Amino acid sequence: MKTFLINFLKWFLIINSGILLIVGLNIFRYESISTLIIPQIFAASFLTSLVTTALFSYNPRNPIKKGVALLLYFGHYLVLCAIIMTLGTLFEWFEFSPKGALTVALSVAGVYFVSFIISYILSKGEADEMTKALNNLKDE
Amino acid sequence: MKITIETPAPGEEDEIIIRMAELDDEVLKTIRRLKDGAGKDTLAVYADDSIRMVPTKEIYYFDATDNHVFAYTKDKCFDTRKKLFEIEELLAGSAFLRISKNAVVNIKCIEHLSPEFNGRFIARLKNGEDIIISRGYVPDLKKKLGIGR
Repeated sequence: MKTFLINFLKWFLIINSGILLIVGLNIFRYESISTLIIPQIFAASFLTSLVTTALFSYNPRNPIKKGVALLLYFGHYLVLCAIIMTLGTLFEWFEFSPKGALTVALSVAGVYFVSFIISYILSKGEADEMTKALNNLKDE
Repeated sequence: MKITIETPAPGEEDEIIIRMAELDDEVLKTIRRLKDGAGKDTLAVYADDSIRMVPTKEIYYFDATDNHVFAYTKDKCFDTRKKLFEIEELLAGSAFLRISKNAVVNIKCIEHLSPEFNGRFIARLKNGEDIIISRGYVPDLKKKLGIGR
């Protein structure tokens, strides 16, 4: 439970920053904006973080095949799109229309891609650092 | 503490007698190691109803499956008839480290590490096998490797 909460907080911070970034990029298109946007962003971040933490708690014994991992990532992306689309329509961020759906899909894809790349670079760096330390240990 | 070593008479069985007012944890661990017939260098394992002593450096990893803990060498697998925590205790301070709920790995047998889905890492072993390092055990691995906090 403790690990779940820590991971949830981590994902909440990452996703909340991503949503703020997207909102920040689009905010100048509006003449005025309601202060209600703040709790709405928190609500969207909360739900998407909950789904993300739940998915990443999946911890099978064996390594996951690349195809399965890609399917999981894609499924996760679709769920995030559905959450943002539902909340976005409810909060009147955009209209429930093909154009609105495309905006959501692209926005979520943007945040998802950036988060994925950052996460992969960090993990790869961590793995390389440990591999180097392992090789040093073997040489001793 | 006084230590006395006597040579048994020919034909007499080897015997260890411990005379202490109170057994502390260290002595209990030593007794367990003696009873297991193992130290950090060798481990008693079971294969086809026979017992074999396997050098621990030849063991790549231990994996717990269905209440059995198996020791995996380059190309063989043996039942240890021990619990994973006992193995962990027995090999504490050696090159072995717990990397998930069900596995203990010999870090000297890891070829390289790579990131996996959901923050876990894959350890590619010298024999080409891949095993999972759970995110929760990464700090211990880093500590053992002398990196990180």
